[in-house]
Amino acid sequence: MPQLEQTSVFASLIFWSFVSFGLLFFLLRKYAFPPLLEILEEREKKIRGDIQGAENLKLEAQTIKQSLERELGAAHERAATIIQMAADESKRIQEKTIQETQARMKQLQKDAEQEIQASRNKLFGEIRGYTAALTISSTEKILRKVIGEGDRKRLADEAIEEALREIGRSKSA
Amino acid sequence: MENPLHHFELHPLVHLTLLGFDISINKAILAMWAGLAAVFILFMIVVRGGLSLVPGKIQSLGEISVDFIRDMVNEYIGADGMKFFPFIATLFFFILACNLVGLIPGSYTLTSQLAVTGAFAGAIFILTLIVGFARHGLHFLSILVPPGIPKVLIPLMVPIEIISQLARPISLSVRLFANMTAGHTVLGVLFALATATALWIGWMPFGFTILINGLEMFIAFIQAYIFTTLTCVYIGDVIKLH
Amino acid sequence: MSQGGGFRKGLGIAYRLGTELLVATMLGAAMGYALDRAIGSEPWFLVAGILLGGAAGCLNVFRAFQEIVQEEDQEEKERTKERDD
Repeated sequence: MPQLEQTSVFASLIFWSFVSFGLLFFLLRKYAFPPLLEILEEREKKIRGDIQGAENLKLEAQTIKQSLERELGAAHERAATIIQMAADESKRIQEKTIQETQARMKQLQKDAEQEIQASRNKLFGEIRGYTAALTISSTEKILRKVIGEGDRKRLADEAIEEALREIGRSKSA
Repeated sequence: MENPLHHFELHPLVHLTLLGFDISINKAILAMWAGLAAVFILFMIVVRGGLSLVPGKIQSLGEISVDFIRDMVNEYIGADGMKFFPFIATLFFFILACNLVGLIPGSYTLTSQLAVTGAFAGAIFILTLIVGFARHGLHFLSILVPPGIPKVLIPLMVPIEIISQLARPISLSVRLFANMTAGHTVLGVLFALATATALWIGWMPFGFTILINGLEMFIAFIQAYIFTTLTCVYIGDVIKLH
Repeated sequence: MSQGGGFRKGLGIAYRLGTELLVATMLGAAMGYALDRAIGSEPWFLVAGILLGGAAGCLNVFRAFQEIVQEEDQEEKERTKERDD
């Protein structure tokens, strides 16, 4: 195997490979590796940043969603209150109307009753008047037959006198 | 037919010496340079026009490979891992480039040289020792005593642990070398068969060559991955110390 | 490269465990043999070296296995975490 037997080239091979390695090491370390490593770091940083940004956005979206849900709930509640209020109002109005109607009906009834009462009273009055006149006239007729002329004169005097007394009393008063 | 291992032989193309050592440039080194140049140029294309947060195709490729090594470093070494990132990443691309460039016919795989993989594994072993002693001082030696064993067993466990620690760089280098050598030997044999036989039968080994080449590409990745992963594991071990 | 990670890891493990045991045993044997040669006590240190090397190999395989189990646990945890997210 020449690689083990041809010892004369070993010194040259080792020397030049070390020298070339050193040169390549120096050149790559100076020109090639720093920019490549830098761009890798930069990209990783950017990706990390992007992930962070995405996470922030996610958080923000969650907050927005929560607040929306809260608002939606509040709106629901408000709508329910409004409906409740409307129902209450309508119920109240209904009741009021019924009460009013009832009250008016009662009033009408009362009015009618009063009117009936009044007309009945009037009728009774009239009837009483007629009855009185009738009674008086019939009584007169009877009395004229029963009482004599002298009694009639005395009764008339007494009545005049009473009337005069009456006038005098009202004058002195 | 020529020896299938023959193509692992190297011949100097440019003669050089340094402090009495022969450091002549040969095919393996040229192939390595081509591979490393390709790595560097690819990276330059990626970072040249400035990078954007929305990556194009080639930027994605660069990012995926860097990200993949970064994950590996973080997983095995831990919090201090990024200090070692440039080293680990360079190691990965170095081995990967050397493995892949050898798949081009006529080229050479540097990582099929045990001397090279051994040198790298040895250097990594020494690095782990330095990191260990720098971090924990002499307390680092407690890595040789597994936690929670009876005192009686310590004389037995210490040699076992020494062998176990020393075996790590050896297995690291042998694995890479063996896989690369095996793959390229198979490829070499098939390719030799394809060119040596008549056309009516030669297409068969040639087809296999293409198939094995695909497999070898995959193994080139896997081996680079294993080598760097284990380097991370070893560094992580000396940092965490159990 | 990040696709098919399981398959890649599986192959990585298979390649790792294969060499781990062999290399440790060979290293133990080599160290024993070297010690024998140095102090002329063949073959006792070679025998001890092979035994200790085998033990070290088992230890390395056990450690590799532990790492795998840990990794799987971690992946499992990650997966469940992803599912929880």
